[in-house]
Amino acid sequence: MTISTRLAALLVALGAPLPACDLDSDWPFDRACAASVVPMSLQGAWTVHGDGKRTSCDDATLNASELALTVGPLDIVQSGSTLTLAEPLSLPPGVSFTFDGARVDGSCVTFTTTETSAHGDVVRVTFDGTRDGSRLSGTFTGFGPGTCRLEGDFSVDVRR
Amino acid sequence: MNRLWKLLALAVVTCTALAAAPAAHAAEVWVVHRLGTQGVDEATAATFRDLLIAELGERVAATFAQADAVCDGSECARVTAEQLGADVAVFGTVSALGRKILVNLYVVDAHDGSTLSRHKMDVDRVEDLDTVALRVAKAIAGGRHVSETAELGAITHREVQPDLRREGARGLGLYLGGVVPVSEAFQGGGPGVLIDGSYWFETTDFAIEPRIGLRFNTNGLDDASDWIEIPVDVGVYYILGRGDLAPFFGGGAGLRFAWADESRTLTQGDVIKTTHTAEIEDGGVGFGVFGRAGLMLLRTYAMRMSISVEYNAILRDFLDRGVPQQLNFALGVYF
Repeated sequence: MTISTRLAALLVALGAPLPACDLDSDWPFDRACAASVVPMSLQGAWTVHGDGKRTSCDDATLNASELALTVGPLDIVQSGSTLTLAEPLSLPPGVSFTFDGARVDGSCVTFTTTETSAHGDVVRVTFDGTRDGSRLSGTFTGFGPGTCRLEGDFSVDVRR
Repeated sequence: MNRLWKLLALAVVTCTALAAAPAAHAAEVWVVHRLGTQGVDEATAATFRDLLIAELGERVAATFAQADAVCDGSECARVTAEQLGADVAVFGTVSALGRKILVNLYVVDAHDGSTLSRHKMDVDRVEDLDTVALRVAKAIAGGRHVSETAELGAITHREVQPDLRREGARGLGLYLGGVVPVSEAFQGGGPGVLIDGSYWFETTDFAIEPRIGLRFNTNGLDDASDWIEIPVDVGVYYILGRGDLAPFFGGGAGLRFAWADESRTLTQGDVIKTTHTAEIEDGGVGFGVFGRAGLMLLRTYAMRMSISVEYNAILRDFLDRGVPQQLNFALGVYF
């Protein structure tokens, strides 16, 4: 191996993107991101803020190229790698909400929220993110109401 | 002495009575002379004079007398009038010139012989002499020129012929103007313009007008809120005057094809809340009514104009903001 070949290999290695916690990525070291992060509790009051878009709605007035999304505040309890609602939310009659599928894997956090309106419309959003201290950010995808599809970026402020 | 006092008292009473007499008979005395004729038979001229006296009698607070003398000058008229105790003398001629009949009339102050006014009018058929009598009487009474006394019902055949004046008309109308939404619906789109076309069928006192138009807001159709309206309706109007400035009012009904949109911020959900700006659209056909008042200009002419203000309502809810109501201001031209 010549010096120039070694130098090129080094430059490629240095220029390569750092591992990201994108669960949909083919990057082979996704799960490795957990090992580099010191575990830290995410327990506290969560407020999720997101920006994205909503498409494919039967009701065209719901389609939006710019959509603001908020979830919460949610009182979240962490137990190991599990996140749950501290207690059920107080909601209007006929409305239900679930916080499930929450999983902490090192720096990677995944959770799903589902709201069913009094009219039976279901909105389900799955958030995939990485945490940085008490701040959590990433992307969200989801559906509802009806045929709508949701996607965008989010961040979570965790207040302890 | 006693007799002297009686005479003095009688003199005072007589003078008072004489002084009061003119006040009791304040109305002037006008004398209308027999009209000179050239190429027109005497009977026609006499009929015209009778018509003239009748029309003057309706417009001038005077007592009218007739003089058999034909005068061809002011002095003759003055002398004759003075003999008859008249204040004003009218004399003139009715003459034929080719196919035209010319009427020349002078109004003279019988006291000093000065000409108060002169009126000339010509017609192309003898049947119009009654109109001439009406118009000249109006001109004399109003101190105007005979051309200023034209109104529907008093247009001579000759005035109609050159395609300048007319007795009544129907024809296309074109309106250009502005629209101001006055109710919540359409107000987001702001004021707009109207371009209406119509068929104006006009009688002496009424008009009927089928109409179609295009009205839209002027802040740009790519703006956050817009509206478009296509009215198809019929209006009926009452015209209050027959002159060149004629107020009119009326109303009508028809269909309104309309479309509107506006931007709204929509928030959904109780826990998962989404907020976005949505373009809400609404459109369809509704029943429309309107009331309109205005002023017709140049009504006695073939091409007329109008200025008007109109209240218009579409009896249908738009964008959940109720019934659109508008004030329309328009300048109209009728061909």
